[in-house]
Amino acid sequence: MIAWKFLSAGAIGPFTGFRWPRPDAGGPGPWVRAPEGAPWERWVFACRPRDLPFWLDEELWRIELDGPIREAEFQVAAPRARLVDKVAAWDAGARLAFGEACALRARDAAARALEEAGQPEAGRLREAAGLAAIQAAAERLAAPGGEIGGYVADAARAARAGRAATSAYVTAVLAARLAGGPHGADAERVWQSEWLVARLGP
Amino acid sequence: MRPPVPTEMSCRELVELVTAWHEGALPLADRTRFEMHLCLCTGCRGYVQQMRRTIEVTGRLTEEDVAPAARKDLLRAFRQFARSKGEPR
Repeated sequence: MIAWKFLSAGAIGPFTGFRWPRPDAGGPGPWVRAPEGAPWERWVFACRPRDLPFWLDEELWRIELDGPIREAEFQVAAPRARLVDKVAAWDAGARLAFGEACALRARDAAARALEEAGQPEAGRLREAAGLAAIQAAAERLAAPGGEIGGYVADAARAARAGRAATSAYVTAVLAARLAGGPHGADAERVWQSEWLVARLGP
Repeated sequence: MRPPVPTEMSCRELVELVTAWHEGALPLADRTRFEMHLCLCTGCRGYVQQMRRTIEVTGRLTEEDVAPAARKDLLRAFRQFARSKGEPR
């Protein structure tokens, strides 16, 4: 099975510090195996497309998983795996674009909610173009839009700082808040994964 | 009250769980929440990296690596701490 795996710069596991052996010329890298007899919770973990927004990091790799595959809620695991190739499309530009796309979604969702509540500030927020303007407009929002504005400002601020994962998370939390439950965040995460897959290719 | 996103973890909860995470003692669900939080919180990520580095460095130390004067100071500090807590010496 081919899946995706986010790594820190230099093909380093972000949580374990493990240095993944990279592919050499023309072929995948060597197999990496979980310790013999390790429970599946200690296998190699990777992403399905729907998992991508939760695990963003500097590098994205296609990874081949082998052996029995275990599906978890936010990941997929296998006892051995090897890096196939680095996804060149996931670069600094893509990270910025994704963070901005999330912040724009936050702006639009908040403006819609404020309009429905009859808040006159909704128009100013909707018209704000560019992350700095969105952040400024959101910060100016008066109560009762203040809380919603806070989410939008946070999403825009994170996107401006290049922290796409934070922008995506804040936008998902806002979606849950506006929908009145976690299904709002789930739907937002689906949209985010679709954005990523469309940008990054199959 | 149910949090808006059930999988979220606060920075405070992460700090409480960091030792168990380092020891590989967290159940998968908690480990997932912990590591998801690290993906979006630069502060906690830095904290965990500092912890890992501290464990790496201090894990290599032996009693002989501590200078006699430093050892004496440390023992004095520990004794004072124990006295302040009313613990047996």
